Amino acid sequence: MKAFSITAALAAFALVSAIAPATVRADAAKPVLRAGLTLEVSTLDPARATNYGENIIVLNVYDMLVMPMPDNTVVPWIAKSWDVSDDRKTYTFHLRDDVLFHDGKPVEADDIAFSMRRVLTLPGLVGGYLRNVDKDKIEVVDPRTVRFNLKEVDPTFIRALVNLKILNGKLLMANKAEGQYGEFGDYGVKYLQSKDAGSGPYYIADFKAGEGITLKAFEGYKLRPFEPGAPVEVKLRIIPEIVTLENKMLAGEFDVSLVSPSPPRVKIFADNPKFAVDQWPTLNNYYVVMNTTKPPLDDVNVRKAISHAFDASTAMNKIYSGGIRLKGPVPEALLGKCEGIATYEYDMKKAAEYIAKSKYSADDLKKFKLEYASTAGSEPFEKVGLLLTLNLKRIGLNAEVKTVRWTDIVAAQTKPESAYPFVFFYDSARVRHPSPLLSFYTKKGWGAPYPSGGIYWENPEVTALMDKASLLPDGAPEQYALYCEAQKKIAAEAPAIFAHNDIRVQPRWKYLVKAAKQDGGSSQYEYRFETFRFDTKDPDFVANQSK
Amino acid sequence: MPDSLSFPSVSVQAPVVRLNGLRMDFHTGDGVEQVIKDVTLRIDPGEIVGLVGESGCGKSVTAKLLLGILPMPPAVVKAGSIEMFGRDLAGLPSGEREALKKFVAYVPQDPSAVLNPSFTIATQMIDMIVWYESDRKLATYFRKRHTRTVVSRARDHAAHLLEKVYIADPEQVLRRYPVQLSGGMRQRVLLAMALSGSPQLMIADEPTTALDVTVQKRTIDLLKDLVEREGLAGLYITHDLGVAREICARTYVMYAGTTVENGPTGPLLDAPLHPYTRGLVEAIPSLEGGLPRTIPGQVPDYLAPPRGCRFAPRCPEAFERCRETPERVEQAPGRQVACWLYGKEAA
Amino acid sequence: MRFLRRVLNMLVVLLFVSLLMFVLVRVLPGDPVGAALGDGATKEQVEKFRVQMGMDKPLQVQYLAYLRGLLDGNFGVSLMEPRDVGTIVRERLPATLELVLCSLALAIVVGVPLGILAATHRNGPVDQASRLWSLTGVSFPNFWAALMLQLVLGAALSLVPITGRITGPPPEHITGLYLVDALLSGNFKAMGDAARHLITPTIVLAVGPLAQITSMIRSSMLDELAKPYVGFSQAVGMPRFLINYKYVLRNAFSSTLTLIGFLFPLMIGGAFVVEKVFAWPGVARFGADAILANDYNAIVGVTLVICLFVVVVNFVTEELYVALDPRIRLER
Ligand SMILES: Nc1ncnc2c1ncn2[C@@H]1O[C@H](COP(=O)(O)OP(=O)(O)OP(=O)(O)O)[C@@H](O)[C@H]1O
Ligand SMILES: [Mg+2]
Repeated sequence: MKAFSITAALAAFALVSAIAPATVRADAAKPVLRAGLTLEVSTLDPARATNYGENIIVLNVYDMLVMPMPDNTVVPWIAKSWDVSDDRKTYTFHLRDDVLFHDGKPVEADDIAFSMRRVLTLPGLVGGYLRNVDKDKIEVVDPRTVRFNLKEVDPTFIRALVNLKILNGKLLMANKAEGQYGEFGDYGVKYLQSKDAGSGPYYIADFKAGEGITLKAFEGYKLRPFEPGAPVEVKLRIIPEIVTLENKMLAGEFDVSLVSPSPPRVKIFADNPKFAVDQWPTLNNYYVVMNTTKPPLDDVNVRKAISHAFDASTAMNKIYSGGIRLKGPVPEALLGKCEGIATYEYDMKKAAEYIAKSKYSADDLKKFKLEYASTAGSEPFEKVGLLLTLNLKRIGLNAEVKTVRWTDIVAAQTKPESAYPFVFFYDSARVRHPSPLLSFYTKKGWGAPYPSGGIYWENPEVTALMDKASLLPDGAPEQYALYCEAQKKIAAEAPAIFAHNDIRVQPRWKYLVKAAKQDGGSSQYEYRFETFRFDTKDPDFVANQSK
Repeated sequence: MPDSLSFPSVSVQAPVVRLNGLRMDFHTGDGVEQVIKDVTLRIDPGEIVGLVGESGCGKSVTAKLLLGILPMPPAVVKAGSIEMFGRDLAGLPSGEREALKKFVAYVPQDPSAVLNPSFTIATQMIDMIVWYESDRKLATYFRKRHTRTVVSRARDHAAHLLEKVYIADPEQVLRRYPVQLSGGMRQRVLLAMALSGSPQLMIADEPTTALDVTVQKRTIDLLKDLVEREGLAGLYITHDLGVAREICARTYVMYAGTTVENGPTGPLLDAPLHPYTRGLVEAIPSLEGGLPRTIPGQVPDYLAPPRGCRFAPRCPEAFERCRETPERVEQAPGRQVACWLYGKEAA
Repeated sequence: MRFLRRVLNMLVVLLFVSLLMFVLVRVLPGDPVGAALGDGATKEQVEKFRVQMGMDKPLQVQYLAYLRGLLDGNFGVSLMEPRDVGTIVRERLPATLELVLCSLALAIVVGVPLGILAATHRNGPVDQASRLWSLTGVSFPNFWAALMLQLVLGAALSLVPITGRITGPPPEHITGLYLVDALLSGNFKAMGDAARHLITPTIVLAVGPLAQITSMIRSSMLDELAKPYVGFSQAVGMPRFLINYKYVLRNAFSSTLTLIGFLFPLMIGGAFVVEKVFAWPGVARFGADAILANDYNAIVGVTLVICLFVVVVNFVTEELYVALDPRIRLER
C-alpha cells in the first residue's frame, strides 16, 4: 500500500515536472511552506517588529518564557515554573535546562536578563507592555534562575511576558556594533536587522529586504515536537498587492494565505474544490473613538445618537469579512459572560431622538465640523468612514472623512485640542487582558500616542473599579466581575463606537491539512509553523512543491 | 556623370509635354471642386513655355500634375490626355511614371522650405545623385550609398553641378546646412539639384517670388542661361508678365482651369485677344505711373463654377452665347483663343 | 566649456532639490519618531531618539550635516529599515531602472514604427487602431491589466512567472541590472530567467508611454509630411522609403525625444504600481512606503537619486536633440 502510493506520487511528480518548466525538485519528506506577506519585512528584531509578517517571523524564530494558550491562559515554556512574592511584585523564574539557541549554546538566566534589559532600553512597542519591570533590579540568581522586580503590582505581567522574546545575549554581545548603550554598544540592533539570535523552531536561512525570507527547521528544538508533515522550510515572499498574492495562491505557488482576502474574493477559493477556507474570530477589536472634549461630542446624547447611527452590520459583513459585534472596549472572548451592557443597535429613529435631547440646537450642531480620520492607505477604513459620515449628515451633524497618515493621527491624539473627533482603528489586544483595553477610559490612558489616547473621557466610578481590580489575583472571577462592571459604565456613556472584532479568513490548499487554527495557539501564536501539517502524498502537493 | 543608359530613353523629337482637353476634379469634404476644366498645352523640345494667370487659376495644380506629386485622390482626371516625352501617362505603370521624374527638373517657389533643414547640402545632393544611379532599387541604393568610391564620385558630381550654377566655392557650400545659406544661394543649389538627373524638362513654379528683387533678376538670368546651355524645355509659371516676355517663347494664359489663350509671348502681350488676357495686361503697373486697372470680381467658386465660359461673369464683353463653352480657335498662326468673340461663327 | 556649464547647472538643480525636499519633509505635519518607535515609547525614549537622529538641532545645522554626509556617500539612516538610505537605494535602484529602461525601449521599439505606419497610411486600419490606442492607452488601467496578465499568462497558462525579478540565483553583481550582468558574465541561464520575469511588468509599464510615443510620432510625422521638402523630394523622384525613414522620421523624432525626457520620470512614478503588483524589489515602492512612514532621510534620498537620473536623462535627450537638429546646434 505504502509502496504503491509512493510510486503514484513519483509518477505524478514525474508527469508534473515533465510539463512544468521549473526544475526545482520536490522532496516529499521535506515539505516547504510557501506563502506571501503584503507588508515589507524591514526588521527581524523582536523589539522592533511591528507588522504581522515581522511578528510571524519573530514568533517562529524566538521563544518566550511562557506560551499563550487558546483559552487565554499561559503555560510554562522556557520557564518551567515561577514563584511570586507575597506583595506580588517579585517574580522568580526557573528555567528548563534543555533549551538551545540556534548556535547550539544553552539558553541561560543571563540571556533572559539581557533580553529583558534590552527590551526596556530600546524604544518600541514591546517595551511598553513591560514598563512595570524595574530595569535596575533584574537578578541572575544562577544560570537557571532569574528574578524580576515590578515597580507596581501588575495583574497583566505574566501575560505581558509573551511579548518578551528570548535573545542569545552572548551572540549579540559578540556581534555588537558601535552604539549609544555604553558597554552594550548598539544592543545588537544592527545584527538583528537581518540575522537571528533565537531558540525558536525555525532559524533564518536567508533574508533579502524587499523580496523575502527563508526559514529552516531547527533540529535542536526541544520545547515542542514538530507535527509530522510540518514544513522543514518556510519561504515567505513579499507580495505587496493582495490580489497578486491570491493569484499566486491559485497558481499553486503559495500554499496558504496569511492575510484575509477581501470578501468578494473569498468566494473564489470557497468555490474551488482544491481549496479549503477556514474562518475564526480574532481579537482584533474595531472602534471609532471620539474626542469627548470636542463639542458636540462632550454631550452624551450626541454620542449615543452617533452610536445608533453607525450601521455596524454593514461595516462588519460588507466591508469586512464578518465578525462579532462588540458591546464595549473588551470583546466577550476576553471578558467572558457579562450581562446587562447597554447596546446601540443601528436605528436612525433613535439617533434622531437622542439628537433632539441634546443640549445643542440643530443649528449649533451643524456648525461643528467633525472630521473622521481615515488612515492613509486603508481602503476599508475609508469605506467605514463614508458609511458613518453619511448617516451623521442625515441626523444633522457636519461630519466628513479626512485621510490622514497613521503617524499623524497618533501624534494628534496626544493633545485634546488636536485629537480628531473620530478615529477608526483596531486594537489587536496583544496582552490578551481586559485591563489595557479599559485603561484608555481612565485618566491613565489620556494622551497616549495611540488612537484611544485621544478619547479624554473618564468616570470616577470606572477608575475606582479598575484600581480595585488590579489588586485582585489575576484571572480571579471577582476581578473579571469588576471589569464587567467597568465595561457597563463605559458603554452607558458611549465615549466610542464599539464596532466589532473581526474574523480571520484563511484560504489554503487542501493538502495543507493543518495551517493556522483557532485552537492552534492563541491569536498570532497560532502561526507557529511547527504545528502546520502537509499531506505529502497529495498529488497537488507534489505538483505545487516544484512550482 | 551618371549613366542614363540604364533608364528608359525618352524621345527628343515628340513634344516634351502635351496636355489635351484635360479636365480634373478634386473630391473634397465639401463636395466636388471642378478645378481644371479644359487645359490644352504643348511644350516642344528646347522651348520655354510660360503659364500665367491670376492666383487660384490652377497653375500649380497643372505643374504638380506634370511633376507627379498631385495626390490622387482627391484629384481625379475626368477627361483629356496627358503625354510626357511622347508617352501617355494614363496607361503608365507607377514604376515607369516614377522613373520619368529623373528627366524632369523641378524648381520650386520657396527655396528655403524645400531643402531639408536637418541635412547638409552634400547629403541631400548625394542622396539624389546616388538614387538616380540606382535603377530605382532600394537595395542597390543602400549598397552604393555606403560604398566610399560611389559616394566620393557623387560628391564630385555635386560639386560640378554647383559650379554649373556659378557657385564659386562648391566644397564650402556642400558642407553647409540650408539655414547657413542665403535665399539666392539656396535657389541656386536647387537649380544645381534640378540638373542632377538627366533633365529634359524644367518646371519652375514662380521660382523667384520668395526672393528679393536683385536676386530675382540674377536667378532669372541664370535660369535662362541654364536652359539654353543644357538644351532643356521648360514650363515657367509666373504672375509677372514682364518676366514671361523676357524668357518665354510662347505663353499660355489660364483662367479658372482653362487655357483661354496662347501664342508667341510678344504678340500675345502686345495685342491680347481674350478679354481676360487684356485685363491681365492692363493690370501691369505702367512706368508713367497711375493706378493699374484691375479686373473686377474674382476667380469662381470651383464647387459651383458658372456654366459656359467661366470668365463670363467678370467679362465686360460678355453676351448671351457665353452661357455655352467656347471652342478653341486658331486666330493667327500659333495663336489660339477660346472666346465667343472669335471664331468662324462670330466672324 | 558648454559641457562644464551644463554639469554645473545639474549640480545646482540637485542642490536645490535636496534643500527643498529637506525642508519640505520637515515642515509638513507628521512625527517620524512616533512611527519609528511605535506607540509604546516613553517620553525619554523619544527625546533620546531625537537627539540620536540630530532632530533637536536647528534646521540649517541639520541640512549642513546632511550635505556633509552626502559628500561621503552617506544619505542618513532610514527609519523604516534602519540602514543607510544610500545602501538601500543602491540595492533597489537597479531593479527599477531595469524595468523602466526595458519598458521605455519596448515603448520606443513598438511605438515609433506604429506611429510612422499610422502617419504614412493615414486613415488606414493601422491609423484608426493607433488612434483608438492612444486614447485608451494613456488612460489605461495599469493596475487591472497587470493583475489580468498575471492571472492569464502566469496563473492559468504558466507562460511567465507571476512575480519577482528572478527565480534562480541572480547573476554576478556588476551593474545590478540582471540582464546586463548576465550578459557580461556570460550567464545565459540567469539571463533567460530574468527576461522571463521582465516580460509582464515591462508590458504593463510600457502601455501608457507606448500610446504617447505612438501619437507623438504620428502627429509630428504628419506635420513633417506636410512640409514642402517632402513634396520636393517626391517631385524629384526620391523613394517613399527614404523620404519617410531618413528625412521625415529624423525631424519628427526630435520632438519625440523631448517627450521621452518627460516620460522617464513619469515612468519611475508609474513603476510604483507595477512594482507593487509584481512584487518587484525596486526603489519606487520603497519611496512610496517612505512617504507613508514619514521617513525623512529615505524620502530625500530617493528623491535625490531619482532626480539625478531624471537630470541625466534630460541631459542626454537634450544632447541627442541637438545632435539631431542642426538648427539648434548651429545657433550655439
Ligand atoms: N489637393 C487639393 N485638394 C483640393 N483642392 C485643391 C487641391 N490643390 C489645389 N486645389 C484647388 O485648386 C485651385 C487652384 O489652385 P492652384 O494652387 O493650382 O492655384 P495657382 O494658380 O497655382 O495659384 P497661385 O498663383 O496662388 O499659386 C485652388 O482653388 C485650390 O483650392
Ligand atoms: Mg501656385
